[in-house]
Amino acid sequence: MRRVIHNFVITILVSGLLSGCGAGDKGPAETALKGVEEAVTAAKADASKYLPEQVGSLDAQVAALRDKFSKGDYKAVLSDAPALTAKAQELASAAAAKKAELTKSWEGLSSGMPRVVEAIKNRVDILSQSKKLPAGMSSETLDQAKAGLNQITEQWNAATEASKGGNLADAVAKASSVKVKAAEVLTLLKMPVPEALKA
Amino acid sequence: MEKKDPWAIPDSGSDSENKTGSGADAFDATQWHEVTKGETLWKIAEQYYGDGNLYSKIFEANRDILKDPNRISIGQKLRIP
Repeated sequence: MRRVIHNFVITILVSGLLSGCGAGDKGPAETALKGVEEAVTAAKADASKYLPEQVGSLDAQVAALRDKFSKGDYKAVLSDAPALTAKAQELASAAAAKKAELTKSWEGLSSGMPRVVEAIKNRVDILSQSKKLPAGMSSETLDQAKAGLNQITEQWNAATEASKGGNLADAVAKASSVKVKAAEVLTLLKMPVPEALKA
Repeated sequence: MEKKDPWAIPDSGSDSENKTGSGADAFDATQWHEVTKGETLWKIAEQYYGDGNLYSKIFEANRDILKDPNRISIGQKLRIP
């Protein structure tokens, strides 16, 4: 009987000690988890637009941290939280850098490409009035150039719309395909290809 | 019209402004033509458009340096629209 009582007392003491430690870590763990969630939310504002492929990985790690918290593994939460907060901050910085890079690219494209398209349009208009095409240019070539100009115009409008909608990555991607097509059309028309279109 | 060669370039005595044509703008798609001896706007239009009748397009694009379509000078750099 004494042995049973002894074991019972020991069990009570140990479980009390363990639950005491857990309760002590819960508050800081909850604060750490909130800090991580706030950092991730802040990072995702730009990262989901400019570095979406990296957001998924971060979300998975936050979910794992929440899981540890819900299972009462507060020490693990406290241990993992700082690294995850740092990762979120790195992602926010990388997204800001990507946004700045795309903004710069779009500014260059949006000021330069309309002039290229205008030059193509002028030449196509003039050649369309010509009774005879210049040496080395067939009517099929001119037709190809006209079709190319239509594609360029459509793609450029789509790029502009993407930019207006705040999707710079999409706008720059579409504008880059306009650059490629414009270089093709300029070559068909025997016009010089600007440096910016040669890359 | 071309036979009379009304826009023959004088051999010397150019009073034109020269256009460099070397834009620093990476998106500059301007095509330039440097006038050589014996050229006329008609001939230049034929070269680029296949039709000399379109010479006025080149003249209008270069009104800043051309006062008369019959007078172009050797070495002038003309914008070809």
